[in-house]
Amino acid sequence: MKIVQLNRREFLKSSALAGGGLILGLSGLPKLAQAGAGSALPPYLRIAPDGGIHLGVPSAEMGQGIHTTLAMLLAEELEVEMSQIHHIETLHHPDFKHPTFREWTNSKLNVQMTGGSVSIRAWHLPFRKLGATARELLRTAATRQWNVPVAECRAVNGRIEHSGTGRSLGYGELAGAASRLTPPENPPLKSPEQFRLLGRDIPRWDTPAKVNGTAIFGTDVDLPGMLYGTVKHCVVFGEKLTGVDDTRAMAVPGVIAIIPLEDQAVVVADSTWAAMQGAKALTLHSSGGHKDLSDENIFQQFRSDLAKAGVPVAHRGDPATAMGKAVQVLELEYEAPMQAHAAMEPLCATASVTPDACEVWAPTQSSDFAMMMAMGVTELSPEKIKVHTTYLGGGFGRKSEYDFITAPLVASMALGKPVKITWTREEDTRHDFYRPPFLVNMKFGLNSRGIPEGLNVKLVGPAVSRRWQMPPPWLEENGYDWAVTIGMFDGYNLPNRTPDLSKAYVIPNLQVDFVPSDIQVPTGAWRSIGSSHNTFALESGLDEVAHAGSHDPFELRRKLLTHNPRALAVLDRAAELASWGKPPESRFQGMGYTDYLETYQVQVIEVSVSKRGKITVHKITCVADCGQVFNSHIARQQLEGGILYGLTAALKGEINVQNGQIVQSNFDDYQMLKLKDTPEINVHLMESHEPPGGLGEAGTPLIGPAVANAVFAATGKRVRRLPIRPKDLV
Amino acid sequence: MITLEVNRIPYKVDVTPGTPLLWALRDHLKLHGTKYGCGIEQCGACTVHVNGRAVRSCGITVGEVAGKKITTIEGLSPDSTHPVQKAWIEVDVPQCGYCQSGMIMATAALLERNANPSDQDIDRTVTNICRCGTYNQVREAIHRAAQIKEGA
Repeated sequence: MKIVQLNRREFLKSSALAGGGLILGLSGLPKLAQAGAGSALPPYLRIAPDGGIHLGVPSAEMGQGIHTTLAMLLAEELEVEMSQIHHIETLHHPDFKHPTFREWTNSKLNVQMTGGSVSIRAWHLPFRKLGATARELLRTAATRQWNVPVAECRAVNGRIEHSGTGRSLGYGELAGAASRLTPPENPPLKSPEQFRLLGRDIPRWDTPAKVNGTAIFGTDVDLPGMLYGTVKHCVVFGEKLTGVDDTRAMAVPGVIAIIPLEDQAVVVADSTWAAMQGAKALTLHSSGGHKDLSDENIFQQFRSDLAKAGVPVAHRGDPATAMGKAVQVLELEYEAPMQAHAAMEPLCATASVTPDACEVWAPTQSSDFAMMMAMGVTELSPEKIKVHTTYLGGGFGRKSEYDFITAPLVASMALGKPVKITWTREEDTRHDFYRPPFLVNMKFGLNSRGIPEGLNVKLVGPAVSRRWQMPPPWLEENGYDWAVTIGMFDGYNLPNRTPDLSKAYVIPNLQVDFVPSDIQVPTGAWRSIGSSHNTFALESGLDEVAHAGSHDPFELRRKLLTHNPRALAVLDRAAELASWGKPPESRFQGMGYTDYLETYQVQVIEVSVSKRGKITVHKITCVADCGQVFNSHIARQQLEGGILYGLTAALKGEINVQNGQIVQSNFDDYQMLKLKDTPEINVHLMESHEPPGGLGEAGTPLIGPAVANAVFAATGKRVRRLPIRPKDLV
Repeated sequence: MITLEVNRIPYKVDVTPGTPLLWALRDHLKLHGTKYGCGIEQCGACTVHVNGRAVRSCGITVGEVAGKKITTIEGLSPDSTHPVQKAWIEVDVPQCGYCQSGMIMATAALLERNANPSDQDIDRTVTNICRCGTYNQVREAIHRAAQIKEGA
């Protein structure tokens, strides 16, 4: 049996995405396109004759409420109620290449992508402007019809009204005329005092479909004549398939084909269950692979690489002198193990490939990456390929990858029918792009008052963004990778940029270096990327510094943030709301602070720990200044959800590698937080008119150190590796 | 051919008796509201009612449920007006939504047996996994659904 060889590097080279010049054309947009050519409005905003708004948006909806918030931003300016938004979909469109990723990479990473907590930050103004543009076009259309001055016409609730005569026309009646006008360059935007919708708890647009089973996720795509399949990977990382024994698999009723690829086989059948049974019965023959790989030797490698010179990440003052003068040097080492993403919806995608057309339906965080994969596999030109983004049953960074797009494309090409591929939970757990394991070494130089005057940090672990590189390269050759350094005095500081330390803790002399230490396990973006390990190390480390210098952890943070009024306000509010320093009987408190993604945030945790080391988290107080908030319900959901995602990683399982393969496979051996484990969570959002900060990931990195600090208060035992294991506390 | 009664409609399904109910619902009857999450009865995304009891449909075969009354999220109410759905909308619980059918089905079955569940009852009974972290809203909505069901 011939093994289909797919050369990913060749895809990248052949992809027009590489040059950033991909023009997909508008052929794929009949659903949303305005009737008639020469429309003034872009094809992703359509006002139907019944006045209903049909909206295409750049961002994938993966639970973060982005469809709702973008629609609110548009509806606010367009002067319509949310009930008039009849349709929202994530649309693949050249206008939707992400401006923030472009900005971070000198325009080199030019893709439509949802991630990095930057959807609202990038799109809030464009979507308000889109709504305002449409509103002004509709007003002008009405004034021309009535032959009255524009100033006498106003937009109200989906209609244009003329003040003098009381006449009015619905948007649906005006849309045709409006679409033939020239759009204004700078339509006026409303001031915050005029907002009807923004800032309020507007119900999510997607909730009705999510409570009656009609929401379409990637797993729910259904096409006429469709076949079903699943994948089975070589278990050891780096193994390549040499052949398969498919006698037993082909004997499973319903199994239609086995298609071997480089490192996996695709099993196609007349139902998903038959395909999964077929995969179970299939024997893979393979060669190579990193069979000696284990957690132990990964961390041994990190320890020996710690001695290497790193790549500079951040620098301030004169750290060498400051460390020399220090009265006490506190050397602390923190470790973070791997974690899987474990989205509730396992990886899946559907493709329909014919000799001259290709369609892909996927729960993808990047329709451009899916497009790239489709171009690579089918060798069709981009105008012949359409990518549809379904709802995502969770993404968390995993679905920004494109490995799961391959199998349906190959299978559909091979079999001439649409194919839906659904991974088993076991494959999903064992073939992830994991949160990278990391070793963080910190040396705090304290003065006689116990205040840190110097800090040397070394981060040792794999660079993760190099895999997302496409030509032209946008990462420095020296191995610097913002995706793993962020959170350690490093924001999104890309090549040739000077880290902005103006908001960070005032430690006057510091040096942060990153030692790239690649491992043979695929690693990637896991909700909050580098901040996950860096915030754990830094916030736990500061707690150690506080205790070493007999400072209250809250007071020490206040001292180090006196130059940052937003941080101080958040700290003070959190201390007040959580009654910092006055926990209830037999409970203990811990705290942490972060400015991840320009969301200034404090979490205060209340725990108790039993004699056997069982940790109970009773209460979490989260105070955040995330700038302007457009939907406070969704904002709180994001912080609370992020906190529970991080709490699972702090208290529950971890991903281990032994003999070159992942030990865990499903929710029985990789356990998740459940309802019974969920503490009371109070999220308080500060009133702010600053530009919006990121929220999708912000809650995640802080909860681990805040809990660990509370556990220290309760037990005197310092947790320097997550998850916290009860056996380490007794 | 096996006859399954799903949402009060009898269907003839061409599957082997050993096929898990989940896959008969999803791939053969195209009732996609019931989700696959783990296949080993751990996560609850596939929860349906069999004769009124919450069952994880990945762990029960078509042969075992033939002749029994099966209800999926699509059949819970014709128009999303079941008290649990009403409460879910009122509290605006879902995030990604993938686990929510299972959460709702688990809750609806719980309330049939226990009209006013305590927090401990909820902890014991609703053991579904949600990765977005909707748990506190789920708890709130369960209490609210109990009130709605009692006419409050």
